[in-house]
Amino acid sequence: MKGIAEDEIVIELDDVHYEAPDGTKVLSGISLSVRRGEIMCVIGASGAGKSTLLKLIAGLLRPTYGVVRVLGVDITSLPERQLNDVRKRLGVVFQFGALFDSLTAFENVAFPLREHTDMTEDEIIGRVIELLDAVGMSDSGHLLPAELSGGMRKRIGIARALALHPEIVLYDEPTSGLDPITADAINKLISDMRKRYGVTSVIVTHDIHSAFELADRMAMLHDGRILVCDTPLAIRTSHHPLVQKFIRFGVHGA
Amino acid sequence: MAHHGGALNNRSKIKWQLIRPAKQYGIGEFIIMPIAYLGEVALLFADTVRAAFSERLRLRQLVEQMDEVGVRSLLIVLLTVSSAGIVLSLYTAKELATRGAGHFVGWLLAYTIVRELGPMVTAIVVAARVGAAFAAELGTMKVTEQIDALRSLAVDPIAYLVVPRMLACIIMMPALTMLADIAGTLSGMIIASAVGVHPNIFLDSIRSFLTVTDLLIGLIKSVPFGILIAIVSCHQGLETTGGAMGVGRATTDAVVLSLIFVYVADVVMSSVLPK
Repeated sequence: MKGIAEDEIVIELDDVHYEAPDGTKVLSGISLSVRRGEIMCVIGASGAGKSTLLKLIAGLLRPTYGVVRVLGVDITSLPERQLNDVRKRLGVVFQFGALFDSLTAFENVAFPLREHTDMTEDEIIGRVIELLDAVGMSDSGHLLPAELSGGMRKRIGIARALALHPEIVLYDEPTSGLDPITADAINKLISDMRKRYGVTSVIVTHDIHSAFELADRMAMLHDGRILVCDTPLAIRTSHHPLVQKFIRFGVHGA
Repeated sequence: MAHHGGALNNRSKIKWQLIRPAKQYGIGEFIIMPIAYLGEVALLFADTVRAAFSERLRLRQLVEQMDEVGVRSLLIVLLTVSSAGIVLSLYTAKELATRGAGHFVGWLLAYTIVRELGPMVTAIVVAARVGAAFAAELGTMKVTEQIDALRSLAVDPIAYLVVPRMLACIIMMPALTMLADIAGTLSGMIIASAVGVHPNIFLDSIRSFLTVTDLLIGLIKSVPFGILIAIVSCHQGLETTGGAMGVGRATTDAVVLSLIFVYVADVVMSSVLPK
């Protein structure tokens, strides 16, 4: 699963520190770069700061220290309005979908199209059906988020994140809590997006099997630092004791 | 949570770590916290006004909120103001009539209602109903990452959520207050006529003593009330943390804080606006 990656770096974190408002140190000195078209999996135990890392890349949180560059733009202290220009080129898939619960599945996927494009109603319907089809949810457009299962919500969330043809998609635990078949379908979808559109993906997960299957490179997050960042093969053969423990037991016990 | 080493085999130590320590506040925090809070509310108001002028208006959201704030609050507002009008009339109409001041009853009631009871009772009811709804809805959106989702989709949550809510309050509060004034006065009139003040005398009294200024001041007061309720409640919602419990806390706080703001604003406006 390698070879498409160009050399252009689309996400770059340089010595990023993040401290939560209550003073807890979440990330302490993260440096990471992701190339265009690459699938980067960030693995680590729950509470290691994986979701925080994604939110920093999406500009939803600001680092306490350090620099975040996305698509060539330094977003570290960029005003929200300019940040929105970057965000239109970037999709975020939230852990529990984060669907708008007053809108149907269809309207959730149509939301970014209605907000940011001049598409006609017919074009929007066409595009939404195409997206729902891609995530295998074409029969569920009329349902409200409360009527969907966790896996279905996640898939609608993916469809919504892909609506504007993003160059980068950030996934927060895309397969956790899903049955193996659905998880596999989502993994296929992620690698399919790269094959078809050259989408760059950052996947935060503690599902180590999916990570090995998908990743071009993996970064292992532990105690707010990146322990190791390398190809799946190199990770598998690493002699680092913690890394070995992660691989053998999954990351739940680490 | 940096060090969890082997030093924790002491049981009592573990026990103490499980109990969340009560937050200790010094004198400084007691002074600074309310000021910081007022600053945050003022900032949200400024951002909302800016977004209202710079972003396109979400008409669908506005109509939905006008329904929530106006139409759905109407019945309980009318009931509350009517009961106040009835009680006021019960206490004053007979007393004044037996002392030969029956021709003041209408004016007294209408004056009290349009100047104070109408806008104030409307604001209290809306703070309780709508303030709670705003805080609960936005708070739930916050803790389920829907606010983050909005931002990640390059949509400003203030423009999308707060602006329509504030505009709905600005439009609907005077409308509700107007109807409340009418309902309160009419229910007072019915009670007054039962204790001997004829409706004609009642209405005559209003016509000769009540001024348009009285009516307008009541309606004008209701607009800041609406703005305060919307901004304070939306602020509580957007600042929610801590899951379902946090949403509950935000909702209660939104109602209590909205009421405090309404009371203070009422005192200030009543002393500043022309008598």
